[in-house]
Amino acid sequence: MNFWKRRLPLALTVIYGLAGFAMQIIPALNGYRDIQNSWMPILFGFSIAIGVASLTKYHFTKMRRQPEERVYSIITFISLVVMAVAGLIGMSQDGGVFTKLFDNLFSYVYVPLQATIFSLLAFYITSAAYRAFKVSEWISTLLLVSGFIVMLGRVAFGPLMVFGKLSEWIMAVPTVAAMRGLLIGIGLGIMATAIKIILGIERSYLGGE
Amino acid sequence: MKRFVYILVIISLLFSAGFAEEAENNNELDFTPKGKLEIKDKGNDDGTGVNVFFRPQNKPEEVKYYLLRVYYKSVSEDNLAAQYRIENKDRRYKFNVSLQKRRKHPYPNSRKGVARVYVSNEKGEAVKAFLTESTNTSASWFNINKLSAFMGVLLFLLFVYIFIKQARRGVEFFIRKIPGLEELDNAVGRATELGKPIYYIPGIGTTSRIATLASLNILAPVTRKVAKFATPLKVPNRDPVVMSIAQDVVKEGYMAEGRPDLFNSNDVFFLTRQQFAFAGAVSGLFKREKPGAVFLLGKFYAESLIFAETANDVGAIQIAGTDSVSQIPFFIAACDYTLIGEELFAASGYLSGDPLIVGTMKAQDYLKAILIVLLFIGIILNIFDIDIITKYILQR
Repeated sequence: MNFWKRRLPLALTVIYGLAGFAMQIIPALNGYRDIQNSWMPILFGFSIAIGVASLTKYHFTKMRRQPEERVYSIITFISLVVMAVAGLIGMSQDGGVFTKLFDNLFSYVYVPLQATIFSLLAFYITSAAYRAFKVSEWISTLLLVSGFIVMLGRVAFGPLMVFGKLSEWIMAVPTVAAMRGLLIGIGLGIMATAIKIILGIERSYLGGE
Repeated sequence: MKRFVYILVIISLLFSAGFAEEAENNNELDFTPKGKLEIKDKGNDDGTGVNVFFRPQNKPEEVKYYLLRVYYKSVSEDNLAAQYRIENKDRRYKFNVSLQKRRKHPYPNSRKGVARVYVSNEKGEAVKAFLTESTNTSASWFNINKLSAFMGVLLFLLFVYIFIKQARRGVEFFIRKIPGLEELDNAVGRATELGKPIYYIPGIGTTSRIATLASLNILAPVTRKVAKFATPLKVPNRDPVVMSIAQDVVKEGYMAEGRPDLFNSNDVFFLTRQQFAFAGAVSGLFKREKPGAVFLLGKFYAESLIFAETANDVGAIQIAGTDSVSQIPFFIAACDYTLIGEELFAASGYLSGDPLIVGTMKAQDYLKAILIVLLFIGIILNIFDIDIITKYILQR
């Protein structure tokens, strides 16, 4: 058990981690990187089966134990089955009724639903900005003032164009400087974590010490 | 008679038009097309890149357009890798061409690239070939552009070795307090007191993202803390592979605390692979179950604010962290505690206190210090127009 759950995954991590590193710095091995990347769709195919199994199990349990939320699970199951059947049968019948059903569901149900959730962001940004701009400390005041300048700068005209220039400066100088500082830290953090995983120092992701 | 004359005139006009066309064709071939063509191995790659240089030596009035074709191995339509229509503007042209597209052999270490230049007509068709050059390419065994990164990794490994050795000898390293991680106990305790579940979202990235792995590393100590209070922990996932790993991590966490009975595989579940469908599903769960604490740690994109604001709306304490620079401001604005940038990667060592991991954090700090010094030296030298640091160290 220890071999299958710990040593083998760790050994594979070390081997593929080192191979990945070598492929980054040795251009002659690029071809092998392409082969390795072509394995990804296989993994993806199997992972979808795991995902659907988990989703089914989760919603079956929920339907049994939480009758008040049964309706959501039923909608999920109907959506899953209808889209899967329409997609699978539609694949072999180009232009047939199932293809049209799939296309219609995709274009007129799925896409608008995605867009609806995405558009909620506008309201969330407003409420988050309100909380962030609430003047409680000097740093919030600074944020409020710079936010005000940037917002005004985006719609500036005539004599207000000075805010446009100021807004450009805020976005191009202090914002970029802060972001680059973050990026340097993140880059080093990514490298350190990758090396910790490759060397087997960090093993928490294997489930335990 | 008159009709006969008309017919003769028409016939003579047709003939003259034909002769005129022939004369025009002959005009196209009246000059000698000239130019200088070079094809060179690009180098520093896997042997698929060539640089082609062409300098027309005809005046634009003589030849307006050329056609450059680059072939893999030999001149044949099947081996055509790229073609460019060149308008003669009396200058030198350079093209970076990849021979990859028409690769016949799986992964040869050397290839041959052939460049041929044609005189082209207005329609872009090849009229006459007049220059052909070829070169052999070879794959490089070291990418010189990654020399700095390679040296950085070696330096980091040296630091890791030194600090791990020190850690094993019992040297204790100082780590500054990270408020988000200090509050972890409070967040778990608060959810327990309220009798509400805890939600842990490991982002929407796959396992190939280091942020996702960092999140899974944090999930382990979080699970152990949760197991002590027997508070329900729920982990919705967007990626089935991440879900499988998270299930193992949570199970092992409960086992490590002697509470395997608390583990329910249904608590670590897959929802959907679609970004906003996942955002909608998780928001719905937050609204219905009203969690006491929400952890948003991992790779997040535009959905980050949807999670954070919904969690805030239901009164959950939120601890967030991501390596997506564009999402960090949203988390800072909406969440109670945010792990900024590298803090996400340091969290695992911070929580576990494992001297080996803390040693690597120290190595990271030293490398950062070196980088800061290099940046300062680079800035100062750049003021005096000396770009040795920026050009040869920082950009490679």
